[in-house]
Amino acid sequence: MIFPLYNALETLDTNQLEAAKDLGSSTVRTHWRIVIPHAKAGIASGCTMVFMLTAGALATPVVLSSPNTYWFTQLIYQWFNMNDNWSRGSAYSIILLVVSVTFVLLMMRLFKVTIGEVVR
Amino acid sequence: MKPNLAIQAFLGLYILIFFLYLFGPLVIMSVTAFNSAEFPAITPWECFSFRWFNEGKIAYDGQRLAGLVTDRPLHEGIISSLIIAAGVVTLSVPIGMAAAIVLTQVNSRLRTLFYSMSIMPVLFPGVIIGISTVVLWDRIATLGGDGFISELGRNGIFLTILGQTCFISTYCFLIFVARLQRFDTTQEEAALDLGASQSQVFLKILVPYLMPAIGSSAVIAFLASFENYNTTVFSILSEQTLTTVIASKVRLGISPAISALALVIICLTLIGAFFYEISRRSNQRKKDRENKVKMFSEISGNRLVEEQPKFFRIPKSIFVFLLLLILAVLTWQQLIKNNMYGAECVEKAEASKKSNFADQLKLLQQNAESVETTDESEGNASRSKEYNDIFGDQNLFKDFGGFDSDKKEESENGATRSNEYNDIFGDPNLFKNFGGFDNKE
Repeated sequence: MIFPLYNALETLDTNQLEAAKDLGSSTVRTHWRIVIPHAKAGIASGCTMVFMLTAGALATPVVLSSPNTYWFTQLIYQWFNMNDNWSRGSAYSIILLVVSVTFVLLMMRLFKVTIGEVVR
Repeated sequence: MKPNLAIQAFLGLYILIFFLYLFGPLVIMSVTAFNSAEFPAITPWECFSFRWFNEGKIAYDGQRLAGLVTDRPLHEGIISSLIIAAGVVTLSVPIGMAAAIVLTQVNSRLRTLFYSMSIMPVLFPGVIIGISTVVLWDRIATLGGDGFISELGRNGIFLTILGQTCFISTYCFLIFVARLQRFDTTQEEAALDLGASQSQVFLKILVPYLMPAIGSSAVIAFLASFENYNTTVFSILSEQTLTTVIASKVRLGISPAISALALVIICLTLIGAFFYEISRRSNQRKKDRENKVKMFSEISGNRLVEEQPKFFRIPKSIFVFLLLLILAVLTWQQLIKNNMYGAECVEKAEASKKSNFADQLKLLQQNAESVETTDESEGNASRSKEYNDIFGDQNLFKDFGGFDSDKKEESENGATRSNEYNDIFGDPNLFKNFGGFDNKE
């Protein structure tokens, strides 16, 4: 989350902040009207990255979660490696793929950014 | 503008909490690597020891806990991880570079499409990439019959290299794109004008320009491949990499050897970062000095007296190191003084644990014996005692008579009933004719 946000904020022209202050805007208002719109792509990209990393995580739930709660990736893993039911595992992973892609498209639509801005 | 004190204090607190959250677990884990107890813990501190880095230990109940040096699966995992990482680097750096160069050549409408397609793999969950690789190559291997293709398709390391390259080449691609955006294409045109061939332009202009990007993308590809788990765990099949070895260890029961491994990795990372920073700074200094020399020769005036650069400047960071060193020595002395280090302490802890274990065993035995004695002395009257009943019907094993049928009659008399524990060793006559390990007699 830090890297996309930092990349976005780095390009912010500080003259804009000074101009806003000169024109009498408060800190909060400057933040709301200038900084956040400028960081929009970074926010979208960071959110997408965090969601992807978490939704696709396998090591963390394996190590940390209790034995009777399953994450979706763990379910897929079980269908593949423990139960040897590859078709079912593939079906589940297709669901995961569709959900992730839908989320990315939703974020792109919501923040009105292109995919090139999301991944940078 | 006057900085607000309250805001500053709040900011400091926030930063402190943030770094505690980030590094606290790492510090605690590193400390547990030096505790000699079987479970990674700080509070019941046994002894300070390096056993988890060396040979591990054999626990009091016979369970074998490997240390770093003696852990064979771990070594094999590291080796296959290194092989995979090398393969991924050699594949994904050229792929990323080629894709980035193509991106500069195509027209703008195609470029958007090409760019979005190239960066798609980053957005896919790693699990799915692993699964799709395995499923595809299983099909290919099945169709390929018995030959080379089938073997290739069932080789975990090969599949893992392919699966990881899918998305790691995209990381490389992104790095190359960022570098190529600042490339001046007139250089290429000038070279072509001067009669260079296309391959010469590529080798003498583009590759030297991209060299930093090649280096950083190789490092990133290596690291991403080394620490990857999601893709690897599916595509590795029957082999093991470092991450899968650690994951299976964690699942079986965590041991301080893992903390030791983590500490080693952290130290390697820190040392790498340290030397990288040093070399970067010395390069920077050298460049500055060269610039200065150039400036002097250009000015060629003696108004600016060149100051001799000091050859031996003491960096300030050395004081931090000295402080840490002093702290470490003090802690060490304290440990020695309190007898927290060395074989003695470990032995004492082992002995106490063993006696604990023995006590528990003895307690169990006593319980069992008390059942028997009451049975003998009071007969069926002892039934009324509640605790006897957890062993069920006491006449259940009456006709069983131990493991040797010779004793059956005796045990039915009830005379040897009190010796029932002898029976767990089986027939006492079993080794009668064995006569020791040397057959000289």
